[in-house]
Amino acid sequence: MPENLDGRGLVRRAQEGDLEAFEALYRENVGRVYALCVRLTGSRSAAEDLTQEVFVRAWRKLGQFRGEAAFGTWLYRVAVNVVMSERRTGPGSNREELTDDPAALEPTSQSSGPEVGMDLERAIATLPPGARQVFVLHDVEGHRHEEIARLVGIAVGTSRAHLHRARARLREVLQ
Amino acid sequence: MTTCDEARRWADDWLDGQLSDALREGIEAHLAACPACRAHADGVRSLLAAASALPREVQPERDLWPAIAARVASPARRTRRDLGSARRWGAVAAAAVLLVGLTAIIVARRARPEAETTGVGARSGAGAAAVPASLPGFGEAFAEYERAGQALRSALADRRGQMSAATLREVEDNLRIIDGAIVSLRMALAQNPDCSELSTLLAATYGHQIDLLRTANQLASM
Ligand SMILES: [Zn+2]
Repeated sequence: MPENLDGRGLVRRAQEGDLEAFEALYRENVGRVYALCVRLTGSRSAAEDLTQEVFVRAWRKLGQFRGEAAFGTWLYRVAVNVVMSERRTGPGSNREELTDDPAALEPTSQSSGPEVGMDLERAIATLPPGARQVFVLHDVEGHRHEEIARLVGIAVGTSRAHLHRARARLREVLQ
Repeated sequence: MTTCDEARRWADDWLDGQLSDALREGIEAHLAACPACRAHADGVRSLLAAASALPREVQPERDLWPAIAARVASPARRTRRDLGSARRWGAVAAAAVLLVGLTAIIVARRARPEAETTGVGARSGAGAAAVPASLPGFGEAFAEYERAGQALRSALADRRGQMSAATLREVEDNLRIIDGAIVSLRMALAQNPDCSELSTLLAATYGHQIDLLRTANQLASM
Protein backbone atom coordinates (compact mmCIF):
# COMPACT_ATOMS: atom_id res chain seq x y z
CA MET A 1 0.00 0.00 0.00
CA PRO A 2 2.19 2.84 -1.19
CA GLU A 3 -0.56 5.27 -0.31
CA ASN A 4 -0.16 4.46 3.37
CA LEU A 5 3.60 4.60 3.37
CA ASP A 6 3.66 8.36 3.70
CA GLY A 7 0.43 8.36 5.62
CA ARG A 8 -1.40 10.30 2.89
CA GLY A 9 -4.25 7.81 2.69
CA LEU A 10 -4.49 7.76 6.46
CA VAL A 11 -4.38 11.54 6.60
CA ARG A 12 -7.22 11.84 4.13
CA ARG A 13 -9.30 9.35 6.08
CA ALA A 14 -8.50 11.10 9.36
CA GLN A 15 -9.49 14.42 7.79
CA GLU A 16 -12.87 12.87 7.04
CA GLY A 17 -13.27 12.08 10.72
CA ASP A 18 -11.97 8.50 10.71
CA LEU A 19 -10.63 8.00 14.23
CA GLU A 20 -9.04 4.65 13.40
CA ALA A 21 -6.98 6.28 10.67
CA PHE A 22 -5.94 8.95 13.14
CA GLU A 23 -4.94 6.29 15.64
CA ALA A 24 -2.71 4.75 12.97
CA LEU A 25 -1.13 8.18 12.43
CA TYR A 26 -0.67 8.47 16.18
CA ARG A 27 1.08 5.07 16.39
CA GLU A 28 3.30 6.02 13.49
CA ASN A 29 4.32 9.39 14.90
CA VAL A 30 4.05 9.25 18.69
CA GLY A 31 7.68 8.23 19.19
CA ARG A 32 8.92 11.24 17.31
CA VAL A 33 6.58 13.66 19.07
CA TYR A 34 7.22 12.23 22.52
CA ALA A 35 11.00 12.30 21.98
CA LEU A 36 10.78 16.00 21.18
CA CYS A 37 8.47 16.75 24.11
CA VAL A 38 10.44 14.81 26.70
CA ARG A 39 13.73 16.39 25.65
CA LEU A 40 12.35 19.89 25.49
CA THR A 41 10.67 19.65 28.89
CA GLY A 42 13.03 17.29 30.70
CA SER A 43 9.99 15.73 32.32
CA ARG A 44 8.19 12.54 31.38
CA SER A 45 4.86 13.54 32.89
CA ALA A 46 4.95 16.94 31.18
CA ALA A 47 5.92 15.22 27.94
CA GLU A 48 2.98 12.82 28.23
CA ASP A 49 0.58 15.74 28.72
CA LEU A 50 2.12 17.68 25.87
CA THR A 51 2.15 14.69 23.52
CA GLN A 52 -1.57 14.26 24.12
CA GLU A 53 -2.08 17.95 23.53
CA VAL A 54 -0.11 17.77 20.27
CA PHE A 55 -2.33 15.03 18.89
CA VAL A 56 -5.53 16.66 20.09
CA ARG A 57 -4.41 19.92 18.47
CA ALA A 58 -3.36 18.06 15.31
CA TRP A 59 -6.77 16.39 15.10
CA ARG A 60 -8.48 19.75 15.33
CA LYS A 61 -6.16 21.40 12.81
CA LEU A 62 -6.14 18.44 10.43
CA GLY A 63 -8.35 20.33 8.01
CA GLN A 64 -5.57 22.87 7.58
CA PHE A 65 -3.06 20.21 6.52
CA ARG A 66 -2.83 20.55 2.76
CA GLY A 67 -0.16 17.94 2.18
CA GLU A 68 2.55 20.38 1.02
CA ALA A 69 4.91 18.79 3.54
CA ALA A 70 4.94 15.24 4.85
CA PHE A 71 2.45 14.70 7.65
CA GLY A 72 5.32 14.02 10.08
CA THR A 73 6.90 17.37 9.25
CA TRP A 74 3.61 19.18 9.75
CA LEU A 75 3.01 17.33 13.03
CA TYR A 76 6.52 18.19 14.19
CA ARG A 77 5.75 21.88 13.70
CA VAL A 78 2.50 21.48 15.63
CA ALA A 79 4.50 19.79 18.41
CA VAL A 80 7.12 22.55 18.64
CA ASN A 81 4.36 25.16 18.72
CA VAL A 82 2.45 23.31 21.41
CA VAL A 83 5.52 22.92 23.62
CA MET A 84 6.55 26.52 23.16
CA SER A 85 3.10 28.02 23.69
CA GLU A 86 2.62 25.83 26.74
CA ARG A 87 5.93 27.10 28.05
CA ARG A 88 4.88 30.72 27.54
CA THR A 89 1.28 30.61 28.72
CA GLY A 90 0.66 27.38 30.58
CA PRO A 91 1.68 26.24 34.02
CA GLY A 92 5.05 25.53 32.43
CA SER A 93 7.05 27.70 34.78
CA ASN A 94 6.40 25.36 37.67
CA ARG A 95 7.20 22.45 35.48
CA GLU A 96 10.46 24.04 34.41
CA GLU A 97 11.46 24.69 37.98
CA LEU A 98 10.78 21.08 38.74
CA THR A 99 12.99 19.92 35.93
CA ASP A 100 15.86 21.93 37.34
CA ASP A 101 15.53 19.78 40.38
CA PRO A 102 18.28 17.12 40.62
CA ALA A 103 15.42 14.63 41.05
CA ALA A 104 14.95 14.94 37.32
CA LEU A 105 18.17 12.96 37.10
CA GLU A 106 16.35 9.82 38.15
CA PRO A 107 16.74 7.19 35.50
CA THR A 108 13.97 7.08 32.91
CA SER A 109 13.88 3.33 33.34
CA GLN A 110 15.09 1.44 36.37
CA SER A 111 16.35 -1.44 34.26
CA SER A 112 18.46 0.70 31.96
CA GLY A 113 22.15 0.36 32.65
CA PRO A 114 24.78 3.06 32.28
CA GLU A 115 24.07 3.50 28.60
CA VAL A 116 25.84 6.50 27.09
CA GLY A 117 22.76 7.69 25.20
CA MET A 118 20.63 7.44 28.29
CA ASP A 119 23.21 9.39 30.26
CA LEU A 120 22.99 12.17 27.74
CA GLU A 121 19.18 12.13 27.89
CA ARG A 122 19.31 12.43 31.64
CA ALA A 123 21.91 15.14 31.52
CA ILE A 124 19.78 17.14 29.07
CA ALA A 125 16.89 16.93 31.53
CA THR A 126 18.99 18.64 34.19
CA LEU A 127 19.73 21.71 32.08
CA PRO A 128 17.99 24.99 32.88
CA PRO A 129 14.89 25.28 30.62
CA GLY A 130 16.23 27.89 28.22
CA ALA A 131 19.57 26.14 27.72
CA ARG A 132 17.83 22.79 27.38
CA GLN A 133 15.41 23.99 24.70
CA VAL A 134 18.13 25.60 22.64
CA PHE A 135 20.42 22.57 22.97
CA VAL A 136 17.65 20.17 21.94
CA LEU A 137 16.51 22.31 19.04
CA HIS A 138 20.05 23.04 17.82
CA ASP A 139 22.16 20.00 18.56
CA VAL A 140 19.56 17.24 18.63
CA GLU A 141 17.00 18.50 16.15
CA GLY A 142 19.37 20.43 13.93
CA HIS A 143 17.67 23.83 13.81
CA ARG A 144 19.67 27.00 13.22
CA HIS A 145 19.85 29.80 15.79
CA GLU A 146 17.66 32.03 13.64
CA GLU A 147 14.86 29.44 13.58
CA ILE A 148 15.26 28.75 17.29
CA ALA A 149 15.07 32.43 18.10
CA ARG A 150 11.78 32.59 16.23
CA LEU A 151 10.37 29.36 17.69
CA VAL A 152 11.34 30.06 21.27
CA GLY A 153 10.80 33.80 21.12
CA ILE A 154 14.30 34.89 22.10
CA ALA A 155 17.09 36.89 20.45
CA VAL A 156 19.61 35.07 18.26
CA GLY A 157 22.37 36.14 20.66
CA THR A 158 20.45 34.64 23.56
CA SER A 159 20.10 31.40 21.66
CA ARG A 160 23.88 31.28 21.11
CA ALA A 161 24.53 32.03 24.77
CA HIS A 162 22.13 29.30 25.88
CA LEU A 163 23.79 26.81 23.57
CA HIS A 164 27.23 27.67 24.86
CA ARG A 165 26.06 27.27 28.45
CA ALA A 166 24.24 24.02 27.69
CA ARG A 167 27.24 22.40 26.02
CA ALA A 168 29.59 23.45 28.80
CA ARG A 169 27.24 22.13 31.47
CA LEU A 170 26.60 18.87 29.65
CA ARG A 171 30.31 18.23 29.27
CA GLU A 172 30.73 18.81 33.00
CA VAL A 173 27.86 16.49 33.90
CA LEU A 174 28.96 13.80 31.48
CA GLN A 175 32.64 13.83 32.53
CA MET B 1 46.82 36.08 18.49
CA THR B 2 43.96 33.92 19.78
CA THR B 3 44.09 33.19 23.51
CA CYS B 4 42.91 29.96 25.24
CA ASP B 5 39.87 31.87 26.58
CA GLU B 6 38.90 32.99 23.11
CA ALA B 7 39.57 29.55 21.62
CA ARG B 8 37.12 27.99 24.11
CA ARG B 9 34.55 30.72 23.77
CA TRP B 10 34.59 30.38 19.99
CA ALA B 11 34.87 26.61 19.85
CA ASP B 12 31.07 26.27 19.61
CA ASP B 13 30.71 28.62 16.69
CA TRP B 14 33.80 27.14 15.06
CA LEU B 15 32.33 23.63 15.26
CA ASP B 16 29.02 24.95 13.99
CA GLY B 17 30.80 26.57 11.05
CA GLN B 18 29.61 29.99 12.16
CA LEU B 19 32.91 31.88 12.39
CA SER B 20 34.21 34.52 10.05
CA ASP B 21 37.32 33.52 8.09
CA ALA B 22 39.60 35.65 10.27
CA LEU B 23 38.35 34.15 13.54
CA ARG B 24 38.34 30.65 12.07
CA GLU B 25 41.98 30.95 11.00
CA GLY B 26 42.85 32.33 14.43
CA ILE B 27 41.23 29.47 16.36
CA GLU B 28 42.58 26.81 14.01
CA ALA B 29 46.10 28.15 14.47
CA HIS B 30 45.60 28.12 18.24
CA LEU B 31 44.23 24.57 18.30
CA ALA B 32 47.14 23.34 16.23
CA ALA B 33 49.48 24.68 18.89
CA CYS B 34 47.47 24.07 22.11
CA PRO B 35 46.66 20.44 23.13
CA ALA B 36 44.39 21.57 26.02
CA CYS B 37 42.15 23.61 23.73
CA ARG B 38 42.25 20.81 21.16
CA ALA B 39 41.00 18.39 23.86
CA HIS B 40 38.24 20.87 24.73
CA ALA B 41 37.16 21.11 21.10
CA ASP B 42 37.24 17.34 20.78
CA GLY B 43 35.04 17.07 23.86
CA VAL B 44 32.46 19.42 22.35
CA ARG B 45 32.68 17.56 19.06
CA SER B 46 31.92 14.21 20.68
CA LEU B 47 29.05 15.76 22.63
CA LEU B 48 27.60 16.98 19.33
CA ALA B 49 28.05 13.55 17.81
CA ALA B 50 26.24 11.97 20.77
CA ALA B 51 23.45 14.55 20.57
CA SER B 52 22.84 14.02 16.89
CA ALA B 53 22.98 10.24 17.40
CA LEU B 54 20.17 10.25 19.97
CA PRO B 55 17.25 8.15 18.78
CA ARG B 56 14.77 10.15 16.76
CA GLU B 57 11.95 8.31 18.46
CA VAL B 58 11.27 7.64 22.12
CA GLN B 59 8.17 5.69 23.02
CA PRO B 60 6.20 6.95 26.02
CA GLU B 61 6.07 4.46 28.88
CA ARG B 62 2.31 4.26 28.77
CA ASP B 63 -0.13 4.25 25.91
CA LEU B 64 -1.36 7.81 25.49
CA TRP B 65 -3.88 6.95 22.81
CA PRO B 66 -6.87 6.18 25.08
CA ALA B 67 -6.63 9.63 26.67
CA ILE B 68 -6.25 11.27 23.26
CA ALA B 69 -9.13 9.25 21.83
CA ALA B 70 -11.31 10.29 24.76
CA ARG B 71 -10.55 13.93 24.06
CA VAL B 72 -11.08 13.81 20.32
CA ALA B 73 -13.78 11.15 20.26
CA SER B 74 -16.71 13.38 21.10
CA PRO B 75 -16.09 15.83 18.25
CA ALA B 76 -15.22 12.88 16.04
CA ARG B 77 -18.40 11.03 16.88
CA ARG B 78 -20.25 14.25 16.40
CA THR B 79 -18.72 14.60 12.98
CA ARG B 80 -20.06 11.21 12.10
CA ARG B 81 -23.33 11.95 13.79
CA ASP B 82 -23.49 15.19 11.82
CA LEU B 83 -23.66 13.21 8.63
CA GLY B 84 -26.29 11.07 10.32
CA SER B 85 -28.02 14.20 11.52
CA ALA B 86 -28.11 15.66 8.05
CA ARG B 87 -29.70 12.48 6.81
CA ARG B 88 -32.05 12.37 9.77
CA TRP B 89 -32.85 16.00 9.27
CA GLY B 90 -33.98 15.22 5.76
CA ALA B 91 -36.16 12.37 7.00
CA VAL B 92 -37.69 14.47 9.77
CA ALA B 93 -38.40 17.36 7.44
CA ALA B 94 -39.90 15.02 4.81
CA ALA B 95 -42.10 13.39 7.45
CA ALA B 96 -43.20 16.83 8.59
CA VAL B 97 -44.17 17.81 5.07
CA LEU B 98 -46.13 14.59 4.69
CA LEU B 99 -47.83 15.16 8.01
CA VAL B 100 -48.71 18.71 7.15
CA GLY B 101 -50.23 17.56 3.87
CA LEU B 102 -52.21 14.92 5.70
CA THR B 103 -53.29 17.45 8.29
CA ALA B 104 -54.58 19.78 5.60
CA ILE B 105 -56.67 17.01 4.03
CA ILE B 106 -58.10 15.73 7.30
CA VAL B 107 -58.69 19.14 8.78
CA ALA B 108 -60.45 20.27 5.59
CA ARG B 109 -62.60 17.14 5.55
CA ARG B 110 -63.47 17.34 9.24
CA ALA B 111 -63.84 21.06 9.51
CA ARG B 112 -65.98 21.69 6.47
CA PRO B 113 -69.29 20.27 7.71
CA GLU B 114 -68.65 21.86 11.09
CA ALA B 115 -67.83 25.19 9.51
CA GLU B 116 -71.07 25.03 7.63
CA THR B 117 -73.08 24.48 10.76
CA THR B 118 -71.15 26.42 13.41
CA GLY B 119 -69.44 28.96 11.13
CA VAL B 120 -66.03 29.10 12.69
CA GLY B 121 -65.07 32.46 11.27
CA ALA B 122 -62.42 32.86 13.94
CA ARG B 123 -60.43 30.02 12.43
CA SER B 124 -58.86 31.82 9.52
CA GLY B 125 -58.41 35.21 11.16
CA ALA B 126 -57.22 34.65 14.71
CA GLY B 127 -54.72 31.83 14.09
CA ALA B 128 -52.81 30.54 17.10
CA ALA B 129 -54.61 32.92 19.45
CA ALA B 130 -57.83 31.06 18.74
CA VAL B 131 -56.34 27.75 19.89
CA PRO B 132 -57.67 26.73 23.27
CA ALA B 133 -54.94 26.76 25.91
CA SER B 134 -56.05 23.42 27.22
CA LEU B 135 -57.91 20.76 25.38
CA PRO B 136 -60.25 18.75 27.53
CA GLY B 137 -59.46 15.07 27.25
CA PHE B 138 -56.16 15.52 25.43
CA GLY B 139 -54.86 18.38 27.54
CA GLU B 140 -52.69 16.21 29.77
CA ALA B 141 -50.90 14.36 26.98
CA PHE B 142 -50.46 17.34 24.73
CA ALA B 143 -49.29 19.59 27.54
CA GLU B 144 -46.37 17.16 27.95
CA TYR B 145 -45.51 17.59 24.29
CA GLU B 146 -45.78 21.33 24.66
CA ARG B 147 -43.42 21.34 27.64
CA ALA B 148 -40.88 19.13 25.86
CA GLY B 149 -41.12 21.33 22.79
CA GLN B 150 -40.62 24.49 24.88
CA ALA B 151 -37.54 23.04 26.58
CA LEU B 152 -36.01 22.09 23.25
CA ARG B 153 -36.91 25.45 21.78
CA SER B 154 -35.12 27.33 24.56
CA ALA B 155 -32.12 25.01 24.24
CA LEU B 156 -32.10 25.78 20.54
CA ALA B 157 -32.40 29.52 21.26
CA ASP B 158 -29.24 29.30 23.39
CA ARG B 159 -27.39 27.64 20.54
CA ARG B 160 -28.65 29.53 17.58
CA GLY B 161 -25.40 31.50 17.47
CA GLN B 162 -23.58 28.25 16.74
CA MET B 163 -25.65 27.45 13.66
CA SER B 164 -25.06 28.60 10.14
CA ALA B 165 -27.62 31.07 8.82
CA ALA B 166 -28.77 28.53 6.23
CA THR B 167 -29.32 25.77 8.81
CA LEU B 168 -31.08 28.17 11.13
CA ARG B 169 -33.42 29.28 8.36
CA GLU B 170 -34.20 25.68 7.49
CA VAL B 171 -34.87 24.80 11.12
CA GLU B 172 -37.17 27.79 11.53
CA ASP B 173 -39.02 27.11 8.27
CA ASN B 174 -39.65 23.51 9.27
CA LEU B 175 -40.72 24.48 12.77
CA ARG B 176 -43.15 27.02 11.33
CA ILE B 177 -44.68 24.37 9.07
CA ILE B 178 -45.11 21.97 11.98
CA ASP B 179 -46.41 24.70 14.28
CA GLY B 180 -48.95 25.55 11.59
CA ALA B 181 -50.00 21.91 11.37
CA ILE B 182 -50.34 21.71 15.16
CA VAL B 183 -52.49 24.85 15.26
CA SER B 184 -54.75 23.48 12.49
CA LEU B 185 -55.04 20.11 14.22
CA ARG B 186 -55.81 21.59 17.61
CA MET B 187 -58.50 23.79 16.14
CA ALA B 188 -59.99 20.88 14.21
CA LEU B 189 -59.85 18.78 17.38
CA ALA B 190 -61.56 21.50 19.38
CA GLN B 191 -64.40 21.26 16.92
CA ASN B 192 -64.32 17.47 16.65
CA PRO B 193 -63.15 16.32 20.10
CA ASP B 194 -64.20 12.73 19.43
CA CYS B 195 -62.18 12.32 16.27
CA SER B 196 -59.45 9.79 17.10
CA GLU B 197 -57.90 10.34 13.65
CA LEU B 198 -57.18 13.96 14.54
CA SER B 199 -55.82 13.22 18.00
CA THR B 200 -53.53 10.51 16.62
CA LEU B 201 -52.32 12.90 13.98
CA LEU B 202 -51.78 15.67 16.52
CA ALA B 203 -49.75 13.33 18.74
CA ALA B 204 -47.66 12.31 15.75
CA THR B 205 -47.15 15.94 14.78
CA TYR B 206 -45.98 16.83 18.26
CA GLY B 207 -43.65 13.85 18.09
CA HIS B 208 -42.21 15.13 14.84
CA GLN B 209 -41.88 18.61 16.22
CA ILE B 210 -39.83 17.29 19.12
CA ASP B 211 -37.79 15.13 16.78
CA LEU B 212 -37.11 18.15 14.61
CA LEU B 213 -36.10 20.27 17.59
CA ARG B 214 -33.79 17.55 18.87
CA THR B 215 -32.15 17.17 15.49
CA ALA B 216 -31.76 20.94 15.26
CA ASN B 217 -30.17 21.00 18.71
CA GLN B 218 -27.73 18.30 17.68
CA LEU B 219 -26.84 20.25 14.57
CA ALA B 220 -26.33 23.36 16.66
CA SER B 221 -24.01 21.65 19.14
CA MET B 222 -21.61 20.21 16.57
ZN1 LIG C 1 44.62 26.99 24.37
